[in-house]
Amino acid sequence: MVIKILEECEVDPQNVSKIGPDTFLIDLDKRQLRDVIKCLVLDKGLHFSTCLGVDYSGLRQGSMALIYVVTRPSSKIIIRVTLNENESIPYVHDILPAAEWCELEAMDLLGLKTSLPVEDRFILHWGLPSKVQPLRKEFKHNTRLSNMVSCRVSKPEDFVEVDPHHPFFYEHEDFLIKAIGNRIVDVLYIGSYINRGIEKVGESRLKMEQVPFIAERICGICGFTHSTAYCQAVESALDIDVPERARFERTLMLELERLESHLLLLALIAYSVGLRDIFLGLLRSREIVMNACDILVGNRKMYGLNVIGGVRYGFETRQIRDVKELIKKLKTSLKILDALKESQELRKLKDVGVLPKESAHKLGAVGPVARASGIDYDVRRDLPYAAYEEVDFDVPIMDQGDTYSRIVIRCEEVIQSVRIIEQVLNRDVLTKGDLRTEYYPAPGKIGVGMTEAPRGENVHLVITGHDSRLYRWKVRAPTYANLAVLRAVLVGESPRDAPVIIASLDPCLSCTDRLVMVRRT
Amino acid sequence: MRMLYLNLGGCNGCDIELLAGVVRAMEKLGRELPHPDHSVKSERYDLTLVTGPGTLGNLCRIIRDLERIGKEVDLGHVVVLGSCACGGGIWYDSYMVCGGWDLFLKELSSRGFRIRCRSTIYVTGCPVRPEDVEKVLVQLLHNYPNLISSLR
Amino acid sequence: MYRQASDGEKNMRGYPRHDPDKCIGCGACSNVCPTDSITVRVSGDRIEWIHNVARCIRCCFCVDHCPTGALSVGEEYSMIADSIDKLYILHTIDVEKCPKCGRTMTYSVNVEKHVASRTEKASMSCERCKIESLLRVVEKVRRV
Repeated sequence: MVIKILEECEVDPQNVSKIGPDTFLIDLDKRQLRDVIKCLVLDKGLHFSTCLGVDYSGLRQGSMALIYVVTRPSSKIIIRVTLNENESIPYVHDILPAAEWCELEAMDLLGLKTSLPVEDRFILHWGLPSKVQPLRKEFKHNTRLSNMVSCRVSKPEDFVEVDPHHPFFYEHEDFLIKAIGNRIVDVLYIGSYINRGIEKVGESRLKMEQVPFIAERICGICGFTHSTAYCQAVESALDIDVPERARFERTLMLELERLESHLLLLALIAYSVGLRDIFLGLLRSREIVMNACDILVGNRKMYGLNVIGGVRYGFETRQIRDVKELIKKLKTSLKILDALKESQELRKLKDVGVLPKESAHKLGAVGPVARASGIDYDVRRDLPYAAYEEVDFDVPIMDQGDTYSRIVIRCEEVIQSVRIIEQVLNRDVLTKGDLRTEYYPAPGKIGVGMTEAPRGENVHLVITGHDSRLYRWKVRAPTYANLAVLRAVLVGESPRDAPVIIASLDPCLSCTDRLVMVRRT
Repeated sequence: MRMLYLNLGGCNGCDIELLAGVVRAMEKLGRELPHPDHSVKSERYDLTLVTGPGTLGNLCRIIRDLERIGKEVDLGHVVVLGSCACGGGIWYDSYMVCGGWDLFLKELSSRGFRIRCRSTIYVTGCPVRPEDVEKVLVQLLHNYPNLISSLR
Repeated sequence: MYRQASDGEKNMRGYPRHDPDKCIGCGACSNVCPTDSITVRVSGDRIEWIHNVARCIRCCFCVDHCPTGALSVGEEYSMIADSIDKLYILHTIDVEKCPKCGRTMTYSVNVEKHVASRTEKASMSCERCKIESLLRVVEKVRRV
């Protein structure tokens, strides 16, 4: 099936190699890239996931590479373009806006040359000199940059800050809004306050087996999905089979995490539209989920459960019994969601901040944001991982694409998550069987791991290196893709609605800013 | 009482647990804590909560704020929450991170800013537990009765 | 300094707790720690086991890798202090001496508890003594 599509896009079959059960690697020539990406994404309707630049000088003789990841139901396609050190790089973001951030990121962090006019620094925009290219292999992860920072960020004069930095979460991100009268005419997003250099630390200081812990700390809300995606990427690169028990344990924790994340967002939205009782009720239900996690893994957040090839702890019958009780309690307290859906305050958000299906596809929206606009794509169902093939669940889809449906779709997903959790808790395999498989590291292997995070498709790509370390690790968090729709949903709306529209995208900025960006969205 | 809440690039884990802890502390005290500032807006604060390892981006943000209000600021009693803020956590030596509150302050003072902290309490944990936040806040407010009397 | 677990926290994954009576000073914990918060070093005739609690993320990966069970998952989760210098734990363990020459070795006295047979005990000697005895054998062979 994939081979046929690739043939139709004029890819030479000699360049295609199958590197995993569902993963294809294509080595393309620089001149062919634009046509192939255009054909695959725009004509055939495949989903564009991410792209990245790699400094290959440590694995082969001095060369750079650009890697594009394109997915379709049931397979992942990795397109690799090898370049010389001083060659100007190809780009596709003029035909495919979804590729804009990741291409500029690759140019900035690797110092690649391009024929495009690029602003001085796209990612490291705190006044760092251009010789700082963190993803080059000769750059040390513990280089002190603080004395080089000049802290000059130029802000256009005629933009207004949405108070104080981000209207909902206490993270720091600038959403600047330009309004004429009562209508927003332009949006500017300045990010990168939370860049912690995660990819570089994972590639240099840490060993492969330690990376799941830093992957988990990418985000304090959806951390476990990151560590699962990382482990799956390495498992697919090194061809490791995960035992059934570990797969079910991962599924259970992933769904508990989805509940945690969605309930927090819904609570914050209820608070913002003035439903204080529902806000407190939802936070109370969330506390039940946190307690369930505490019982299972001993920590309310940062489960520390994943290792490459399986999980660290097994669950006991006693723990499963306690969690079953809590889930029963949770189901009764979740009746409050109906009150939220029916409320007048939320109905006012119908037809506010509409994202049409075509622009959602072109901008590369993922997760609930895309599903509310009618894009039928869920990684759990289309590229099954963990134990999702063995449980029943529905993927709610809505067509309106407005703020109201983005909120309602999350309410539906909460119900589905509870359904999955109940099915998993009734399996005996959760308490007996092997926990993990042994593995042997090998250099130069490529693997892609994908999970459906609470906010959408989450992509991790790894290239293994020598000395049981990673050579390259790329994280594409869902918010990274979803922030691209910011201008599409905000322009034309009233500035008063801006906070709740931004919140309905559920931006999780600590995920996104593992690297940094500043760009007109 | 004026409260400042600085997220210096944390992962949100501590921030959400902090919210839960503050709610518990308010229940125990029977009084409401004021809504905090998220960026330095005043020259004087009574209580400052800090999370996150201190990224360069946030360093720039604070410098921008401090330049706006003058070179001197009194943060009052500082509560440093979480492994990241205490010692840099898992990214202690990353190129984009100062590596904890102490090194962050050193960075600021090397640029000529004078930051006064009346006392500093370090609470470890990854993320911090709401029980700890509750305990520290309640104890702190009891130790300094003038803080409590300024609450509603 | 530690806060004891309350009733609702019985399942909590707390600190890695270190037992100096079982530690052999092998340094496995410091090798696997993702935050490099554990340091094991020989200073004089003592082994110092230093834990930087401020940086520890409570993953307890070190507990998984401890060969002698000297590390265990503690019940205390957090440490509250008014100075960063108080957030260190320092344990010192006596270093094993070479039974032949009396020089200090790189592991602690507890290693004897884990060495079962008498032949193994007899074979315990420092690197230099081992090389010297080997050289002596070589010399003997050459003379013959």
